Amino acid sequence: MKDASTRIPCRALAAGWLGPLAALALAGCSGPVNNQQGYMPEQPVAFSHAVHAGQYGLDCQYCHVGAEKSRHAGVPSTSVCMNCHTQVKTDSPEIKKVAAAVAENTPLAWVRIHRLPDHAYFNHASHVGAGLECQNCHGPVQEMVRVEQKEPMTMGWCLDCHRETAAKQVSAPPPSAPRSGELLALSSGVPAPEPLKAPRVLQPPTDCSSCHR
Amino acid sequence: MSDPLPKYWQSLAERASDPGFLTQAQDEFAEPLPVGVAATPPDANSRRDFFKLMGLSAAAAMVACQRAPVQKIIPYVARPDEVTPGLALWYASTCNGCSARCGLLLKTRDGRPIKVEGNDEHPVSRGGVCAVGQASVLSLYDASRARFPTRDAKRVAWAELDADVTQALREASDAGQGIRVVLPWHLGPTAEAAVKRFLAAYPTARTVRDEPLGELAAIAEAHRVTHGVHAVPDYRFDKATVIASFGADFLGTWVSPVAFTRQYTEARDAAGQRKMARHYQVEPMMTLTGAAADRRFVVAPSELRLVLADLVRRLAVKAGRELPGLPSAPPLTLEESAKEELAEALWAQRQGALVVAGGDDVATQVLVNAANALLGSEGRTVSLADGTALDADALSLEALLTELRAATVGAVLFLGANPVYTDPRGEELAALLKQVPLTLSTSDRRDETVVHVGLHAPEPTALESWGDAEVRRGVVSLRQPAVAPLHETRSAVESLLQWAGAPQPHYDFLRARWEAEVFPQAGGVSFSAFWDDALRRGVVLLPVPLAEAPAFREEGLAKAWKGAARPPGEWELVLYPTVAVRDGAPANNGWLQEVADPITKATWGNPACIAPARAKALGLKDGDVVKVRAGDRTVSVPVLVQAGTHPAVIAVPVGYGRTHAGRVANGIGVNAYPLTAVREGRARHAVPGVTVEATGARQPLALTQTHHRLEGRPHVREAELAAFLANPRAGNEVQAGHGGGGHSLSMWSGHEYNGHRWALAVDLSACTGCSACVVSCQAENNIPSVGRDEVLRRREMHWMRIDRYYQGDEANPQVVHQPMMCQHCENAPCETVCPVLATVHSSEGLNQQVYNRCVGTRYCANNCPTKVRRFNWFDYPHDEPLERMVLNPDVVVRSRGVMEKCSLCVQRIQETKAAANREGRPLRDGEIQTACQQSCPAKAIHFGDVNDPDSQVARLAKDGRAFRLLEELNIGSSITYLTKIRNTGSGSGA
Repeated sequence: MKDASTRIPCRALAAGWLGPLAALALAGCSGPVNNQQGYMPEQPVAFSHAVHAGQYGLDCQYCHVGAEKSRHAGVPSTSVCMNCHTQVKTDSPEIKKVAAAVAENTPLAWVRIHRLPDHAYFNHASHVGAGLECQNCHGPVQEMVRVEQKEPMTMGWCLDCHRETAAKQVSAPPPSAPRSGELLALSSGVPAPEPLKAPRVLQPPTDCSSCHR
Repeated sequence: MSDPLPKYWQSLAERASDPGFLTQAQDEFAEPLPVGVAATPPDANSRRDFFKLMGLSAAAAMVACQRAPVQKIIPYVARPDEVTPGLALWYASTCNGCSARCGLLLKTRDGRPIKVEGNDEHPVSRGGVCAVGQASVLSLYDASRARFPTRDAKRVAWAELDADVTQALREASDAGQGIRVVLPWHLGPTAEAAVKRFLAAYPTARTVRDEPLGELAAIAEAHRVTHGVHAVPDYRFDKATVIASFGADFLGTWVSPVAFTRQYTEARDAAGQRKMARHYQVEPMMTLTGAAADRRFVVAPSELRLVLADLVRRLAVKAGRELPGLPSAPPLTLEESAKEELAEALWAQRQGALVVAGGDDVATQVLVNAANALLGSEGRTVSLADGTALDADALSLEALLTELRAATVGAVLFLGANPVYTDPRGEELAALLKQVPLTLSTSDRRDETVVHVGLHAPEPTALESWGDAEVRRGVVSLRQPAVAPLHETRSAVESLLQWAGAPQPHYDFLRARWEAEVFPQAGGVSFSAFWDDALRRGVVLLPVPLAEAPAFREEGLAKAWKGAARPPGEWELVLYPTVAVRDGAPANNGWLQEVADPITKATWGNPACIAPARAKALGLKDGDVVKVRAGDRTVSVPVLVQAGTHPAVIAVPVGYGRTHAGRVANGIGVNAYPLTAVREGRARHAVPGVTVEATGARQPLALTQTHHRLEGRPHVREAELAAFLANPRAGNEVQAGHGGGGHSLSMWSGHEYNGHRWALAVDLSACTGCSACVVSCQAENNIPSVGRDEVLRRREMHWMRIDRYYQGDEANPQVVHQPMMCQHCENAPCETVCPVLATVHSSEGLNQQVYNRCVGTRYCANNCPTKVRRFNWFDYPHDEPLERMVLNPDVVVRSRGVMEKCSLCVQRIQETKAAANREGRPLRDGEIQTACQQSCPAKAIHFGDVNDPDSQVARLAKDGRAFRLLEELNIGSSITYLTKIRNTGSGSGA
């Protein structure tokens, strides 16, 4: 701060134009901050969920493997695409992009659509395990040619569902519900995992620290 | 109950009601707002910067009206089978932080190690990890590490370096010149096999073992004298019924502190066993171990051996044995009654007794062996058969220097040793190295020794490399990497094999050796199944056949008596390792620099401890710089007046004053190693006859205990064993004006907890104050290190601290350690004053801090009676991309201007709850472990649900020893503390 006095004009100038700018910024804003409802960016590969999930009925978790065991549902590694596309539609220019990515060992950089702020911790596994359909939050993905954020994904929207579920005393899926663990066990011949006990009543938390920590 | 409350004090200044201290302690925050004042890191704030930021945020606000910035998701091209993004992978491994080699579990997320925890299955360390082990994950990402091999400080390819080394070694060997490999005592069986192979390839090669503080060397040498084997025995404090330690800081730094802490806690579990081993500590300065002792005698370092000799004499008399050359009792400062009490207590227990001694004096260790032999505790509390043999053919550093002076050495290879820094002869060594044709170091950084050698072949850290260890006979553990080497490094084992002309990857060599040597001992059908299981568990228990250890021989004893008496000089210098920085090897680590020393509470520096009486006589105060002169060496160091120090002693920690450790440690504190004496060719860290003179200069000490003051309220409670056995609530009675008694009226309506209610129980009897929990918490919760200047401003960020209380005589006080974290009060004073509801109560009893609501009024910190809230004065720098890798992705990184505090590891609660829900089962008690609880070597911390009546915390909360802080204020703390039990034998004659 040794030359503070020499800075005064500069500061005055700065304050002069910053004020109106800030006011302008505030006035221009409407709607909740960070609400990206309707966001539908272009992706590096024109992948259609309508074809894969809709027309061919692929299970969401065939590609999004983390959904029932991890915080992140995850975007499939490029090699997963090639499980089919070494045979299917190999001439398509879009598939060629994917094949090239695998050949060059460079990952595809997808544009993130559904995004919570860094201070919010969402756990996919808990929600899938509670019996929520992917579409509850992500909208009718199986109809989307290009994926779009359908829901507001704000804290209020999360809490509405949590409160409603708690009020309605909803149960978790019954023990007989197929889970990939059992399916895998059936197909590979190993003993099936213990079935779930009596259905539990869902108690979606509304504590701050459930999501913020 | 008519007794007045014991008077506890946290610092000498507080005890004396020093006016300066009182003024300073009066305010919550050390000084006015820092804007524009603090020109020191993390950033200099000028008004201009403020306006720039204003402009930027206005612009950002406009952008936010449109869209958030585009983020990319970059998946794997081919995902490794075991990796699921968002899920942690754990690897069992072995610590390499010191020679104790504790069992570890390394937590990795998305391929990067983020946390070190203890391996519960390891039978020696049993789930504990110390601060150094915890911090090793930060050292992995240390930006000051060497990134490639060099020749004369210039980058070189490995092949080129290997060609140079092989040629030089061959030339040296052909010319009959010596090849010397300087390395620490323990590298693990496989690495030792590689060393042997190297020695076999070059007939003139020999090992030189370098141990900065010479403790293992002294123990092994003494056993060579008394038992004919060069080995360190296996100590079993858990089997001891009385423990006498002569200056051995076995809970802090000596041999295997984590394992010893757990054993010690078990031997002293008064509540569980209805008895506890009594612990005598005879030492010149206050150590962590001395602080835990029941009876502590303060003795000058030069008299330690005399007291021990006197004890051996008394034991011999009791045993009716004649020992050769037995001297008469020399006059000592320690009273006759104390000496007889000690001998009597040990003799009463005989085989259950355990005598240990610290330091580098061989004669002292010989006397320890004599004491244990007389007591008959050999094979019980101290077992040579289960111990570890040390290289008996190794040369000493003095022998190497002699050879270097005679110019008969053609090559010197330093393998994980840094003697130029750690040895008083370092300067001479550095000069002599210049004329050696091949000099090389494998250090992980360009340290003080590397700058004097020609070639640098850097090693990866323990988290990136393979290895093994055998810490007790039959307990063999594996070290496996949790990540591929970050830099162009190569393990020393691989380097040695390469230079020995038998190149082999470390992994292949290790696996082959295990197949040939370990597997046959373990038995079994398939080696690959055995190997996989060993990797998964991290440790293998081999059957141990009964082994007869060689018996004690009296011949060596005569020598130990000789020269025992030395006229004490005016001052005696003690050079000692601290619990965090040890010998200085892990110094370049912000977590270890910032964790307060458990005794001195000093951070970022190594003040010299002197006794209060001596300080008063000389008019020295905390922070007065003195000049310590030993022979022709001088070091200037600030003093710290430390209760419990012998008046003749000035005790200075080693490991500081590094010049080539890296950007964190360089220039922090002063290097005390040059003051080390050299006698009979050995470096000696107790130096008599030093001079100390005041310089008049002052250097403020970054101490933490005087921060966050608790206004003299009685927060700790203790009882004597006999009283406790008679009355489980002893020491814990409701004191007039303090403590429980129930509140019939409350201003608060209370909370309803229908599900869980989380709580902690902390056993003050078990806690030794080692501070492993503090570093564990820091690692788990992304807590920044703030640096010396900010600690001086009382702005350290630790969510938990260990409060140290003294009681009694300042020449030899009793000490209580109390881990202090957010108390998660039922009627939390912080919650009522927050104007923006940023701190609120959860339905499970947590006091939640909501960072994104916090506006930084700091009212909550002001109103917190336990002073556990921390304010982010800055955006603490995470400017080094490599060092950012250590951050835990499950916990947010707080920004400037918000308050933070202990969350009871809510991320762990949520994760475990979610897992239990998915599996459709209730939570098991003990399934959730907080970070502090997990690494506690003493298992003093318990976490759980008090609403579950069968849980351990619920049981402990109803225990007779249970008390809560500030019950008279009706804050309703969720943390239960358990009264400390002592076994001093005073009072009702225990």
